[in-house]
Amino acid sequence: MNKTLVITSSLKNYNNLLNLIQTEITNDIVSVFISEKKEFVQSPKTYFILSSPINPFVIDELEKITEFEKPTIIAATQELDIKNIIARIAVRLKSGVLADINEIKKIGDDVFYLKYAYGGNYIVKLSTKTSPVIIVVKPSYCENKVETFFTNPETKEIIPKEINIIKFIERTPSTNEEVSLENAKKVIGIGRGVKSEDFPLIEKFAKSINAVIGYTRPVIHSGISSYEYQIGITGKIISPQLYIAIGISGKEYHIKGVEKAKKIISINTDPNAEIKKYSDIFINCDYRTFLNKILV
Amino acid sequence: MKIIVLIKQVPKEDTIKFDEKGNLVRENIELTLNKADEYAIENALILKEKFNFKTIAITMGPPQAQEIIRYSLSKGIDEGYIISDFSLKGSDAYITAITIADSIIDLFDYKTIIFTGEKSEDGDTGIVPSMIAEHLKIPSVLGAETVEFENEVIIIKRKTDDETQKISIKIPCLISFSISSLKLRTPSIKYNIKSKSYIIKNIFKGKYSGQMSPTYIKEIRKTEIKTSKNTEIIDIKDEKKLLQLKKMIYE
Repeated sequence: MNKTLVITSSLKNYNNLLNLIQTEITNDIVSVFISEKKEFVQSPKTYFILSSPINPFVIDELEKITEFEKPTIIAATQELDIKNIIARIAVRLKSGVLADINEIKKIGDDVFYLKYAYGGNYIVKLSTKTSPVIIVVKPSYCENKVETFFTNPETKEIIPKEINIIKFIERTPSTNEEVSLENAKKVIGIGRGVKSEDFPLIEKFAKSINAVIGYTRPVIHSGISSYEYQIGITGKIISPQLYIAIGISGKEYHIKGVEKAKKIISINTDPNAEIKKYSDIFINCDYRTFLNKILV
Repeated sequence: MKIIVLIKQVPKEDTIKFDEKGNLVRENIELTLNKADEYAIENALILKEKFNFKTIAITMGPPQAQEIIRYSLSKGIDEGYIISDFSLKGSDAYITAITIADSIIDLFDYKTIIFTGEKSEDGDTGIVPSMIAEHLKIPSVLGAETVEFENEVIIIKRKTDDETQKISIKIPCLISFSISSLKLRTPSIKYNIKSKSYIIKNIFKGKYSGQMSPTYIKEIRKTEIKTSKNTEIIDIKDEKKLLQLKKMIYE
């Protein structure tokens, strides 16, 4: 009834999305995995498009799959190249796209698509008049609760044509030292209260405790770093064991991105900073004083 | 060679307010240029300086969106246009993309590169750029940090979650830019004077309207944040507590 075509290029994002769809919508799933290498995918039927998602012919292959499978819902993960493919498929299918969906809820026979908006202060229920329903999902959180094993899963391999109008000329994997924000056990968040000349000090602290550094939206907007290090509802939603918030006031858009952290410690000069009430431990002092005491 | 930079005016985040019913309060909202679009403009200006490309800024929005066109002219962009009509109010990504593609078609040729921001701060979908590229039948790459022009192709540098990449793309094409550590220039006096008297032409073609949008907001309500915690307050002078804390952090 709600046959869903799941489109992805990232196994991690795929597993999160699959969980959400199995829990909230349906088990009638066909997956499309777009990557040079095959991954182990937990789906009753999977198409492997064995190519980089930047290849324009991938879109043609996906269009053929869509025509054949006739899904009610097309759900995609949030990687940039997948977003690119989805937007282009939507134009071909003359359908709207519900992008950056954070939550999916099924009530009776109706499926609702929810997204946080205006800095996470508001939750918006979105709908579309066109079919299939096309969504790009950025789950607000995912617990691996569904473990469905499909017997005799069906797989198909597709090798699209290659073209030289877009091609990679260099690809360097991020070094292993650079653990991503989402996978880090410890994260330090830097807010507007931190002076940029003190960043090296905080980097030293991060190194000594083995933490990854992320930034709030205003800090990212000042051009310090790129979106991939932004913590919050419009950036990364993280769930580390320990989150240390330095010079962060605690606006809702930020809190929404860190509320799944096991433990939150915050350091702020403002004794009434919003972040205090969401913290397990609050230290009211200048972060430099704190760092001087805590750095070994 | 020509670069069309697509830009958008957005509300400044800290000036956004809602009434008790959850409706956006339109008074006293300050408007600004979408941050990621600044990086599209900067990259266009770098190519203009090096290779003498012609640069054109275009926005879709209400008449006051002319401000961001003037702002980009004051930074050195050569020409500016607006796509504006009352009927476009409430356009979603789909209608926005088809309207822009339709309106810029006369300015577009096989020697055109389209630059834009990766996503807008208000809509935050990042869907529009690729939709425009699909309508124009040109390739698109999202999330560039910087670009170079070599042997008639554009070389894009970008970072994804697990790779640093260099991608070459043939012209015509569309490239969206993300916020990066690239230094942004400030408006210059010379261009600022020119921008003040510049006449911004409306290039809207009346084929589509906001009412035709396939997607819509069904309901909007305030988010409930997880209930607050029992916060333990540690005094920075409490050496014993700090030692415990230190142990926990370094664990």
